Amino acid sequence: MGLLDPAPVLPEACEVSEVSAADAARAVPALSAVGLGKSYGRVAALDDVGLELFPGEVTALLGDNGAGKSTLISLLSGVAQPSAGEIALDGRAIRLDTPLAARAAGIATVFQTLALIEDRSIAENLFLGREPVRFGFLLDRGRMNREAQIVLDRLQVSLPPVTMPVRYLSGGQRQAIAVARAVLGGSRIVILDEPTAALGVRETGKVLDLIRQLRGGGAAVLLVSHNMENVFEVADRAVVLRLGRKVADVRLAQSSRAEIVRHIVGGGA
Amino acid sequence: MNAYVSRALLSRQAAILLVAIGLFVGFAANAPHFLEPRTQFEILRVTAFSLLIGLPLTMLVIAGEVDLSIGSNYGLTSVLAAIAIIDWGWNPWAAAALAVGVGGMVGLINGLAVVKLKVPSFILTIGMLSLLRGLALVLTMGLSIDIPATVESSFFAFAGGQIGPVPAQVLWAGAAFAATGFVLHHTLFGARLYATGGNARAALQMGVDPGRVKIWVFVLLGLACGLTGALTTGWLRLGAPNTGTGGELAIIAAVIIGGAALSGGVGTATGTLIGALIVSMLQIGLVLLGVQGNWVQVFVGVLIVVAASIEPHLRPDGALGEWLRGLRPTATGGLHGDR
Repeated sequence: MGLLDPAPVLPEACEVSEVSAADAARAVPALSAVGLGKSYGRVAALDDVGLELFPGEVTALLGDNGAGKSTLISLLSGVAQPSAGEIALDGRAIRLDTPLAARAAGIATVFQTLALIEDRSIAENLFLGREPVRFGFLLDRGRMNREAQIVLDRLQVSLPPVTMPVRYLSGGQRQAIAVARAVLGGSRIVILDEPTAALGVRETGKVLDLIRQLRGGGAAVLLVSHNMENVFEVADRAVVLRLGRKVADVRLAQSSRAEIVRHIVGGGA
Repeated sequence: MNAYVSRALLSRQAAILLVAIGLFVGFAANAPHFLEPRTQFEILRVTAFSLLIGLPLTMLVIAGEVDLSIGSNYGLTSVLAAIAIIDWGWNPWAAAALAVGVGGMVGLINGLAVVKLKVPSFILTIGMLSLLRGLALVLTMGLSIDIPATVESSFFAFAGGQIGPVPAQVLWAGAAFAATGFVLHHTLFGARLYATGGNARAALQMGVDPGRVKIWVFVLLGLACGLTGALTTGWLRLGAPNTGTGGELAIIAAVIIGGAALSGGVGTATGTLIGALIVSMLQIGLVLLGVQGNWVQVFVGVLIVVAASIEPHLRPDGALGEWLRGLRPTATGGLHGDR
């Protein structure tokens, strides 16, 4: 994926080239889930759902409210455990008993509540839980700030100095920090839950740029979104859930908005 | 650190510093004997006792919890040290170690109950306030225990001596201040402390165990209460069961005036130092002015209410912060950088 021009290109052109490149990597899904099911009592929130995420590809997860999107990502991020089915990373089955286990396995989830600490600096938020230390207990602030700047530069996000408390930042900037933190841990699989839900047009554009950056870096991205426009702009593939079941798994280049919407609402499918 | 941020922090720290200086000048001009070294060192001594407990309490408040049992823990451990010396004939150093150990145990119990049993710390420590004070009264049958001059130990000089004109307690408090400032700003533990109080769920998601951090700080605060109790007994040669009664209020006042937020995630050692100076200046200055002792409580109360009321406006994104930002258009540009 490093061969791709990271400069902004027209969405259409971008999609075509990305898809063909992603096809080359098709053989090895970074994450694959087979027959996933989750029941709460007698209610099946998710039933026999399969999902494959590929490196360097953005997969959109679509569905109406109650379709099972949240349940699926809570299974993939270790928040909840499946009642049926299994999850494999690089072909090896894995148990994700806790969010920490998922993170350690390389699955980073950016939830809608971004889990940032308002009164702490950008750098401290980025390194939360894995602060660089000297002698095991001294905080290495200098290194933390330097490395934070490097990570943010690499993602090409424009932010105030890394010593600025998160409190001052806009919604898009916060989203960028949460995403940067996800990839900082070396995660190759990034799940973004409605990353643009609370953002204006310009900020949304920046977050979409960021998602393209992740894809360009070879990450497998799962984008949960209600916003069809965003999905068509940035995603390569769409998985549609309805009433807990997978009803479509299509390449967006070979689909249309009308078709996707039909899958979501289930009319005349 | 970014110039704007340091300025915002400064403005808030500067605000309480201005209050402290104003009080000092006001008392110096009006209160007889206020400027005498003896008075000044007495203020420092009172500040020192507030700080020895107030600094670890600041850490606990940063972690998002509060401990109202500090005054009672202080009293109980003070009494225990005296009992160990007089009734059990212990070496005063050993008695002091016992006080510190018991204080730490109380902290551990508080911490475990708050974290493991999920009892709100406010409720739990109100209970402990009563329980520990009751124990101190039961153990002594309500009477003070004198340590006669015939009991000799280097501990008494350690606890109550002077180095030149400086009371020993002031030195211990100075060391505690330096250590707290260092821990908060330069250690991993400090960073985890702010994370725990700032957003416990985020901390948990990122692999920090907020519960463990809280338990440690409760223990540290308990140890500090025990140490202060032992120092008080050693200094006064007296174990009085009412030691520290109401002390929790003065100490919490110092911490809150110093800018730590009970909602967690915010607070500094310097703020608490200034807060403690303000409270002890009030306590001593008002008495020198001839104000009836009971009024001192009223003024300390007013100060807490005022400090808590203006706190939201002093926050970096509060009214004052907005106003400052308006004055500095360049800083605003930096916040919303375009690319």
